[in-house]
Amino acid sequence: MKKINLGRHAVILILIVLWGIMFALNESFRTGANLGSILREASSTGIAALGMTFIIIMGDFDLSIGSMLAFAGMIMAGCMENMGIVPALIMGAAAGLVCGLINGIIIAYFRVPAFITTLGTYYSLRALAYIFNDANTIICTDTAFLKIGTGSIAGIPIPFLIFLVLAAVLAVILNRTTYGRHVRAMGNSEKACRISGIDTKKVKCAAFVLMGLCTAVSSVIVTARQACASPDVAANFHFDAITMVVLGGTKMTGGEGSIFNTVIAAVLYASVSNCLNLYHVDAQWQRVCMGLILLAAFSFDFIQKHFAGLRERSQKKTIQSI
Amino acid sequence: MKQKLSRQSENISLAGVVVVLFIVFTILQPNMMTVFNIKNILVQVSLTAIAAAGMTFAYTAGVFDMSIGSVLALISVVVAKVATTAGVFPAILAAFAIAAAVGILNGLIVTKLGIQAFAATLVSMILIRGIAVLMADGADVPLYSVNAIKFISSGTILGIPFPIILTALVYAVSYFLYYKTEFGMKIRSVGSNADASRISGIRTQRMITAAFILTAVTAVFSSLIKTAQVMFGKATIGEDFALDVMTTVILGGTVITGGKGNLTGTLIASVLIAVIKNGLNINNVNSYYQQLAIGVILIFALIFNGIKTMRNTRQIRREG
Repeated sequence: MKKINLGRHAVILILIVLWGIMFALNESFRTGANLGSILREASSTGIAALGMTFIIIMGDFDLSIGSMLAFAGMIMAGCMENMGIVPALIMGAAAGLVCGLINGIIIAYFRVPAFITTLGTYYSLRALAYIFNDANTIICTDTAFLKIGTGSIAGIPIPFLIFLVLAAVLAVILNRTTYGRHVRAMGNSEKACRISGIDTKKVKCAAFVLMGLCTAVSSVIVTARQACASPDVAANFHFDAITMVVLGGTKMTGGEGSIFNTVIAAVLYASVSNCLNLYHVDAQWQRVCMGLILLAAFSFDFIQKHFAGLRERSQKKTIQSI
Repeated sequence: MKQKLSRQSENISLAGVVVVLFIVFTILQPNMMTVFNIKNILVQVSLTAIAAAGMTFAYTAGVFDMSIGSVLALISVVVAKVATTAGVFPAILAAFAIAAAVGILNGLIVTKLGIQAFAATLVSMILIRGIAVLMADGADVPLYSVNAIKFISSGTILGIPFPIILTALVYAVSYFLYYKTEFGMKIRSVGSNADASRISGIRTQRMITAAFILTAVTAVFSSLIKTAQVMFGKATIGEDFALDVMTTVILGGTVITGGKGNLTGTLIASVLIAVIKNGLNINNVNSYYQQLAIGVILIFALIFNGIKTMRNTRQIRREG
């Protein structure tokens, strides 16, 4: 009998069970509007989680994405007033790219641990987002732009379509290209990669640039959905994105992960928070809940290993008793 | 010997930066150089310096604690709640007990579940902040009825503000622990090579847990000072405390990857941070620019630290 790897398929099983229960129990859950809003919510954080999947597979983390999102959003909304939608989108993407590049250069070329570098940019970029417009919100009125966040094509929300397309592209990059192979190899052993002639610095730097671009896309969706860019948006964004990735079974120690599972985990995460909202769970309790979910996802690896160890030991015992 | 020399010269140059900055700020705004303001700065120093001493141990052991800002908030709420109902001493006891529990919890998550320190403390950061807000019930807990608490922030002994005495005490104990005891040596050993330490009989997991406990316990002092300053138990304080403390420790020259700490550097760096904050404040610079300044300083300290480590490894390779 072929052994089913429970770890790999756990997310999708949990999602199916959760949706099944909620469909049966809660009337307001199964309305089209609610499902649409779950998908929109999943997409806005999920797109950043796609980039984060690359980073975590490489064995690093990026804590600065929430601030980066706020900063890119401010720049985008600021440009939109004066220049129109297309230049504004380009400027937003450029902001994400530059932020990612700064992170990448410091981490890869100066060999500073990623989490502490991105902690520095986390605070700096948030401060810049506040400084940009004197801590005021910038309102977006361009209807074509707002459509990106609120519109839908053939019943499917546009953000979710963007999410799926990006996921497909990134999955191909991760699984089918040399670059993707390098990223996965880096997670297993950076030293081995360096010795075998891979330009590890460039690979690492590129991953952080990719993260920046993904964050910029997330920023477009978040800004378009709220119809404004505010400097205090997405305070726990890094936390949500990391939870999605880890929930999707990507190993924290790097080397292993899948884009598909991140997509499923993003939908699962958004569904859970939607359910908590439907049952009027207090925002603080929600955060505590999400914290516990992340802790559980983190320890999943440990639990698996622990049980594998137990099984091995019991097998040894049976062999000895025979 | 050479290492000790380079550490000394680093400390001296850092102290030089403090003096220069202080002079520059004084030229910009003469009010900087008043006794009142200098006392202000020193109290400000004590806030980060004390927690940074504990964090230096954590860095040395090769871990670090993101949850320290949330611990600050939780302790603040706990102290306010207990002090208003049971008195000051039970409040302080409760604060230390809870901090120790948080440290042990962090340590257990990291060592027993095998989760990276910063990821684990990222989780506990969210959880502890959540508990603090839930305990405070979304409002500040007033402390006006308990005047004794005020002494912690604004009391003086022989004319010296109490927070400064507290800082001196914490650093004296930390120095002793860090440089003179077996415990300090073991912590350093775990940070520089955990595997080798385990093989040579050091209980590495215990050392790491101890480092987390030290960080949380020193955060209690900082929290007490902060709480006494505002006379409220606030669940929202310390949002960027982790940034201040991390910046302080790294700026002080402690090696990020573990094994080598610099307590004197940490102390000088906390003075530097406080002078910058106070100088910008007194010159009416918006607080966002302060946050930006600290963030940029952290990034440059990191780059400097990175260059130093690279140069070291190259030297080691050359010397074989």
